[in-house]
Amino acid sequence: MRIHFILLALTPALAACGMGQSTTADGTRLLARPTDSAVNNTDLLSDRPMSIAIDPDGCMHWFGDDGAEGYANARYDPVTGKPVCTDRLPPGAVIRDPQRTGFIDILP
Amino acid sequence: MMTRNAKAIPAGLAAAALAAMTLVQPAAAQDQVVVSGQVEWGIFVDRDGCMHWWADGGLEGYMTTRFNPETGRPLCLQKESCLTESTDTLIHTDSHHLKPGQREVLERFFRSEGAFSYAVYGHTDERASDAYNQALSERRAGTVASVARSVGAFIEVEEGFGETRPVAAGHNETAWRQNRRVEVVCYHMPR
Repeated sequence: MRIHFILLALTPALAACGMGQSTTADGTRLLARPTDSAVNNTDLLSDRPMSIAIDPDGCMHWFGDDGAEGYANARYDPVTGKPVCTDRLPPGAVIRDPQRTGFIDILP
Repeated sequence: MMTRNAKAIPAGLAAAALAAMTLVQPAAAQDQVVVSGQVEWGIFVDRDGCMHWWADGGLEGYMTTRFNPETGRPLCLQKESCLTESTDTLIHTDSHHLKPGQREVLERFFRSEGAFSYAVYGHTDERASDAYNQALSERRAGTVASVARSVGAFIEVEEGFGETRPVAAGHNETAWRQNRRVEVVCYHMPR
């Protein structure tokens, strides 16, 4: 099980060794692209919604675990552009399961 | 004293790195800028309608806000400004008191929406003084917020913008009618 997990975790790295570094049309090294490289090819607009995580000040962040990588960014009020904050949830709280894939992902 | 460049990269490595990288030739008084790679950013639109840049770097992911470069505010489609109500329908002229039947309409709205919390924003048209309009928009936001609270809704933000945020340009009754309004933003939580 553990080996299985490690192999899965290394898949992107192994794939990178086998296929070589991605480059753009003019030969520049491509550092990141908007498709999931780890497990499947979903993007962040797919059906599974992002979770909400509460920071220590009580403000909300969109929060998602796409397998090998995680994403977080502030939630904004679409009218004012200000952060969305609350004192009704404890700091550190996460609303909804942030795991967006079936990838085995435990924090030791 | 060491320069920052010398401290960061040993000479041999720096030469090798420079050879592999695109070198942007600097003007005399500029920092030397080296493009070491490129990111293909994608757009993630959250359920409030606000946009974020994101990209997957293999074992790590990156995400940051998409800003309006002129205002510095996040760029949002306002997909989920869940209620915009004309104050002509809702409230008596020059007042913050609801017209008959409007309390029930608002109560129904907040009961059926069921969001985690809400923001209520009041706006006026451009007639009358700035100070008068500011105060009127605050009182109108307060009226709607108190109806929401009366049915158990949680109001996170309650704010008046006076005449500062018109949705319609123009200095005529058509524009004014659209601009005097109360806006509600619903902060839903993911299910």
